[in-house]
Amino acid sequence: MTRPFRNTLIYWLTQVVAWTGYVLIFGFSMWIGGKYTHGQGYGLLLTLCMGVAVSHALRLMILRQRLTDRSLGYALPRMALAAMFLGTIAAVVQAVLHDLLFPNAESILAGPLASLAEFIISWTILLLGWGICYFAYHWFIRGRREEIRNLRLETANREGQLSNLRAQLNPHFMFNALNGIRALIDEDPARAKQAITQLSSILRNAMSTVKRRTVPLGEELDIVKDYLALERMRFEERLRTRFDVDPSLEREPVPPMLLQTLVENAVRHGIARLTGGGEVVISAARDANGMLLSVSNTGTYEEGRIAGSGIGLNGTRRRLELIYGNDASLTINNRDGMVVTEIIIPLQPREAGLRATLDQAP
Amino acid sequence: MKALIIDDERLARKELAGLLEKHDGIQVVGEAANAEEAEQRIAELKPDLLFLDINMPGRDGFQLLEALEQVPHVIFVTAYDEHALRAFEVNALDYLMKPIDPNRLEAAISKLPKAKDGELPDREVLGLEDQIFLKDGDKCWFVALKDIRLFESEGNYVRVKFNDQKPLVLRSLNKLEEKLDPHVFFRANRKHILNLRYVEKIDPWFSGGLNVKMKTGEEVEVSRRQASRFKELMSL
Repeated sequence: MTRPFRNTLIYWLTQVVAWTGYVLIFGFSMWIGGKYTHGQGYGLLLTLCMGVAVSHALRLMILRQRLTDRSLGYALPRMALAAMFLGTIAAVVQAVLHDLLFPNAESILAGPLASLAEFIISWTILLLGWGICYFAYHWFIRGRREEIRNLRLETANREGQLSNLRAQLNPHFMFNALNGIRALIDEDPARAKQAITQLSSILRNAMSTVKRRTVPLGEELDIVKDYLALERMRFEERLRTRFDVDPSLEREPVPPMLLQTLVENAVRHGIARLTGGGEVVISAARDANGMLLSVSNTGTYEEGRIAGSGIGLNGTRRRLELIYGNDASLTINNRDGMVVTEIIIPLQPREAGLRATLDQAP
Repeated sequence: MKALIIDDERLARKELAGLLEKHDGIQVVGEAANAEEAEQRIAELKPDLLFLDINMPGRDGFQLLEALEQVPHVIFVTAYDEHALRAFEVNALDYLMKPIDPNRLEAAISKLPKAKDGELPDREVLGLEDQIFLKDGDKCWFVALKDIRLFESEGNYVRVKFNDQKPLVLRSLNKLEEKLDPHVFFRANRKHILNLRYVEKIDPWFSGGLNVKMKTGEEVEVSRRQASRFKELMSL
């Protein structure tokens, strides 16, 4: 059973059960008071149908106005107004039907105005009660969802911190780099010194990013460049790199290690597996929806083929969702012999998302 | 001892070659950057020892070994690969971690059996002391041919029985037969090649065939076609 279908089913079941219960209690109290007649059975059935119909109309109004998403002060008066409006309609419709169906009974419309007013007031109160229950249920569910979201955000941040550290201190990369440097000390001492500096800045970055929620894109790119320089030392002519970055984006904040994770994937699962090597292209550009970051590498992507790569992508996807909600996206495609991974993030990150990450920072 | 270094990174090969200069017993005769190159070099240079990196583009180090008919001594090298490290540990294989500690290198080399000059004569079939590399799932073995008592085909695979192990590997029984010493390994029927040294008892079987009982208890049927040749071999 799909979730929306299950929710609809639950809604209608609750409606029918609640209104039947109400009508039964009402009828029972009349019966106890000795006022119950056969004709009133039909009247109660009419009330049941009217109740389901009118409260459903109230729900549609609440949903259309998105009242459950608004503050209490905004939502409640509007809901009360809607309840009054619908209550009046319900009372009049029921009165007309009553008079038409039971011509022998005492007419409501022709009777004193007070009895119609009583009808309107009781319907309004009934609908108000219904609306308040509906709101209470929604706020309860939303509170729980919020709580779950916060917990997930917290775990993801913890995991993120750990995996950031592990990713940057990726032992396979680290030891291979050190091994390369060892060989370079004889072959090209100047390049060996440079490599040690690059390795140091990667290490330093790994120690500090855990504490930061965003970094300027330019800073992230510096780390990516250091990383690629070290990988080029290992792969030599097998790894070719190209940057295509809109300079006006360099001060824009991005989550740390976002680009770096993609570039590492591109080298590890793309270039390192090709005997002849290939190219990694990193680009950042403005897009209608914000900032478009893309990392491409020679090769073809087959879903599920590479153990481990999916986990990295899923982690990144989850991180984006937690920070930016639905405003960010991550896609991976094969295009002209390249695997293209693209991330779109809003240029002005949503306040809520940022605050959430900030709250979780140690 | 002639050694071949197999690693996809030039600097890593250079570093290891540099470390090996101090070892008089080891002579680096060549280098290879991937499995294909390695196969060529091994065929040309006939090294006694491989320094083999597991992580390589294309086929990895294990896949290279599986493709070799005759496997020299191997010292594995890796930077850090949890999967490979587990395989080394599980199978008690000799390995070095990059950057290589010269002391560990020395220890690994000292464990190698002392080379006799001209150890590997050029020949068409494999000798009994020659080893092959078998891998089944996570487990792998270097096994000398003299320890193998039975090859049994199962579809496209061959089950290799030695000691208390019987891994299933992707090989062809016909290809194997061509390479094995015909005086020791005998094609008993379509599905079996057996090691004659493990034969305990021979009984006549239906329609001119023979039933061979191995020292380890297995029974193998020798087809009628092969029976006379078998008797010939066993009477020697």
